[in-house]
Amino acid sequence: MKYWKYIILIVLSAFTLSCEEQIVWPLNNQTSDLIVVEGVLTNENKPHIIKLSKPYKEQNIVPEAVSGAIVTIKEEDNNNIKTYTTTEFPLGSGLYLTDSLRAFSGKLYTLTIFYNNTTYEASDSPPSTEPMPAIDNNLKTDSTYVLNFNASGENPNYIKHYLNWQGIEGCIIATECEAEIIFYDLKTIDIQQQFKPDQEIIEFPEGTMIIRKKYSVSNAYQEYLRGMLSETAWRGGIFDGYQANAATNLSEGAVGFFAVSTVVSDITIIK
Amino acid sequence: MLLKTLLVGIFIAFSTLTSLCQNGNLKSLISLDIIDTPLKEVLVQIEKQANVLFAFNPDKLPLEALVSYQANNKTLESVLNNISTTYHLKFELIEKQIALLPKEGAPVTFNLSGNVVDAQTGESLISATISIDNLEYGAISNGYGYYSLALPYGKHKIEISYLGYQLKSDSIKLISNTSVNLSLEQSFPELEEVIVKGNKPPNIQLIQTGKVNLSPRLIEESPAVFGENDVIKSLEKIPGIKLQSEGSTFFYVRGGNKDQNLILIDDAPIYNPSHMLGLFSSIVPGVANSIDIYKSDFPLSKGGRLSSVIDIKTKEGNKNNFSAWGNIGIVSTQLGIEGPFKKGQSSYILSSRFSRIKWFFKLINPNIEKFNFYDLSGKMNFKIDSKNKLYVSFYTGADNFLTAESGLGWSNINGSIRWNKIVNEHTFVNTTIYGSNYKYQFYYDRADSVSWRSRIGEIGIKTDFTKFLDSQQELSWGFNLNGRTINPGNLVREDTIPIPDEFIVSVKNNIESAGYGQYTYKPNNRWGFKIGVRASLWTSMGESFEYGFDDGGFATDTLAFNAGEAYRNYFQLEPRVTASYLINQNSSIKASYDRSTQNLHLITNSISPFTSFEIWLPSGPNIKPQTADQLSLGYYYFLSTIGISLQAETYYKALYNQIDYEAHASTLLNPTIESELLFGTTKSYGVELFAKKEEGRIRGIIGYTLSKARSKFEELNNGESFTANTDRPHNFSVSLSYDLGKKVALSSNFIYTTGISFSSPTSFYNYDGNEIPVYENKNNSRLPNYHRLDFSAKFILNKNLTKKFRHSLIISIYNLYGRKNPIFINFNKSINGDKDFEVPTNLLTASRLTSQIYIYGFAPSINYQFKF
Repeated sequence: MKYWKYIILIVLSAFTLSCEEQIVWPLNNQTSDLIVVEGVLTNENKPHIIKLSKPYKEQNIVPEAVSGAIVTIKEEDNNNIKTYTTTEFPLGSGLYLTDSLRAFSGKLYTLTIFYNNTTYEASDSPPSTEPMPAIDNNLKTDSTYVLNFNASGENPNYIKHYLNWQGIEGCIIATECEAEIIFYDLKTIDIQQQFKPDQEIIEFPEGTMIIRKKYSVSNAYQEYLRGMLSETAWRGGIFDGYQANAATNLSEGAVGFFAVSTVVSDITIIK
Repeated sequence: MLLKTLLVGIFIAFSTLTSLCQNGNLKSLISLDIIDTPLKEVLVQIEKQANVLFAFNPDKLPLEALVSYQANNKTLESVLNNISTTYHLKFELIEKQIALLPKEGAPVTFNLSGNVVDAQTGESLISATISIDNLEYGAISNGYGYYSLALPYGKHKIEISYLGYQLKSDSIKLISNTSVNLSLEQSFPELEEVIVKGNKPPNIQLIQTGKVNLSPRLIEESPAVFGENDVIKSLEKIPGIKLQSEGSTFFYVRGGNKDQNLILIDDAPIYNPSHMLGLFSSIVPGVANSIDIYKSDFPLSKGGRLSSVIDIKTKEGNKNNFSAWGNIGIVSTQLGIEGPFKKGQSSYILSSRFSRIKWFFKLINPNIEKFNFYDLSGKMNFKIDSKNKLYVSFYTGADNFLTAESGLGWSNINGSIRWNKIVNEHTFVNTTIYGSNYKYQFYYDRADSVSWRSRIGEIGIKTDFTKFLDSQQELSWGFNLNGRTINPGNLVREDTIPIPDEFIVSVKNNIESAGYGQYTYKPNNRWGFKIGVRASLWTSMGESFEYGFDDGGFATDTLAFNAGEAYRNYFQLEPRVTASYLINQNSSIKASYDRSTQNLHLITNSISPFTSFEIWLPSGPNIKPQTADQLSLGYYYFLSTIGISLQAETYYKALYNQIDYEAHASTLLNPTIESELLFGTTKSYGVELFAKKEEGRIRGIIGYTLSKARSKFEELNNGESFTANTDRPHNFSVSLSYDLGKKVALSSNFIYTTGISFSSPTSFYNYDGNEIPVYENKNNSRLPNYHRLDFSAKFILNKNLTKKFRHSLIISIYNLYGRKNPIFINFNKSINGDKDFEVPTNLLTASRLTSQIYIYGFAPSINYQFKF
């Protein structure tokens, strides 16, 4: 019986190990003229950026910028309409900056992009946000910490964490001593989310500064983020769904999302 | 011959002589009360009472036919009319004699009926062929081993054949309707290539397309992953059937979806035949007596699915001797017993399988509390009398995978009580009461006792009549009534915290009633026709609630229905027509058209091959029934010299109201789930080639399919048609077994299938540090082609092969050359320092790569089997 158990162990080990491997998978040659829109207006009084780029065929490369577009943002509140123009800066970067503006709850914001004789539009309205929850971190090793996800509030939201431990003893390469982690709390129950693949764990030392920003999420934005996560952080588990584009609010087949959120933020030094 | 002529002459002379002395007329009154008396003696009695004289040629009349007849003061004319009708005679009064002559046309026939059984175990043999030497037709035993055929009066030599059994010939003198049970001896493997001559596969003669009988023996002989032979996985060897992918018990038949297959165990449906998420199936071949697979021309009594019926009849148990067996493998242990309650009359069989791998998975994850699966099936049958039999069978199986925090589990329980009644020589009736209960649980938070639970429960009754009208005609009809309750998945909490309304999904109830009838006609020895129709009425019942939706898919209305309130009906007619032409005794051509309807829909937008929170939803106000039309044409040939049956079939199938999903549809705890569904059509066509050899030193099956399936949904792919999820253009399989010696048998499988179609990104874009794929055309790519080679060797360990206790060792290798057949391709992971794949979370430095996930590499196994 003892030997039998060893045989089972060897055989099952062969079956359960090495089930994933890197491959080369050439993408379909199909070419298209899509543009990518990435922009989040918030209640922070600052110049906001609308980023326009092209999809790319090779993973991890810097996307080609969409330059020379005319980008405007219209703010509507009952009968009051105000239009903000943008400036591409630096020129050729595909980054379109507004003047300082602040997005308010209850107002509708419409993004208009004119590019290559096509007018793209998208609208969103910022829901109000809820208070920032207490930061949840714990010791992973004797000297490093990790962040833990906790659901917070009643409404869908996400919290962006910027971590920086540059200048702290042990940090040799500055770019390896910072991280940006987003915890999405969409208030949905998804099979893919429940059985998502292993996620990278970021460890950081005592003294790390963490800047947190909590973003409120409209229904349309929630739907987009859910689709985006289904194709990114949640994909690769054992119960994946059919592949599909994340539901955008952009017209004319553009991809990405134009969102408007209310933000609260805080800064914590890990001790 | 001389003696016979002499006797005839004497008889005619005697009759003529006596007629001179007698008078009589047709109005004479006579009384008869005879039981099983030869016609010859009956005529003598009539002559005496009516004072008449019969003149006839004894060679032309069925004088030895046994007559049972009653008449009380009836006129001679009336009596003669009755007897003449029954025995195909005509009579004429000539002078004072009554001349009896045979009627022109069909001769007088009697029914030969009974059961075909295994001589050793008494087990019914399903689809055995009964042939008559001097006629070009025969019969095939039905799903209970019962046969009935009309034969002309007189002597016949009958041959009974069944693959794996010795051909049996017998002579029978048919002078009345006769019931004969036919028993066959198993043919034991010989080292020489011996084919039992005369054995004919029933598929040549059946008026039926798209049917394959898969022998449990062939499945048991084939190599299987970890030695766990199972019925569902073996279906991949049948042309036209493809498993969704490796590690799956989902399968597609002729371009149909995975929910369109009706799996019946002794007439009771099973909704999820998987263990360990689908790595193994719950149906082991050892308990099966017969496995019939219908891909078209479905039996009318087995309706409700569009693409296939997998009709599994379990063994009845040895009626003569006690027997036990076992199979100890890497993953599980199987044990079974069978034997008679009353020798030759009633028997039982009990089979179990339970896994033994928890300890292994606990090494990987110490938090595991439960990690097991099991099956338990049993059957009892009782012969009440020569015309009544009762069968009680059940199956139960479950999977449990629990950690301290969460877990999964599902279970099936089903059972049936069947009553076979032979009403008379012409009529066979089977009544079945059946039930099935399938539950799926996801323990979301075990600490707070929160779980997601889904269930489908069904109970039904059906009665099927078969009436063998004569040698050319058969009528079958019946009805089926069942009721179901479906919980499409709801949260359950064991504390007092209420479940929010937005997560409450309505339970659905329905009643389905169906009536069906079929007429089979064989105008001559070549042609055969079958025409039938199934009429079904589907009724949605309260207590439940349904949503109304606007054009944009938003819920605008909620309608509540009281318990028992019928609120939606669907009436469907499903016609079937089949024609067959027997070219000769070894080949035939057949064609069929059938329409089918499905009112149960499996809702899952998962590409996973594993059992993954699928829920069943019934037709209702927001979901119309799925329907399909199918045309099939086939050529069937039996190479009798080497015992190979060949089959070539082509089909065209159109499926309507097929279900697909909105992008990233939410199917879990979604009360308005119907708003996530899209409806369209799928069209598929293909050619299937199949060869099967079940006897001799080399046995096996070879299949090839060339097919195409395309779907069209207005909301998907810009309304253009696209490659269906079920499409696999090429599918080739070989499964062979070879007896190397009396104690060693080798087996091998080779499977090749075109890769699964899926939507591959055409590019990526960056959003907030995430790299998001862009999809343009749906299912624009395919996973790499699937192929693998398996091998197994069976060593019989007995020194003395005549001993009742037999044991053997089986060494198997699944995927001999270690082909990595991917089930998923991912574009979102990176490799960490421990060489593990994970999703990067630091969005400042994230770098991603493309990876594939596969299940099995080279997988060896060893099994020990015994039987006594």
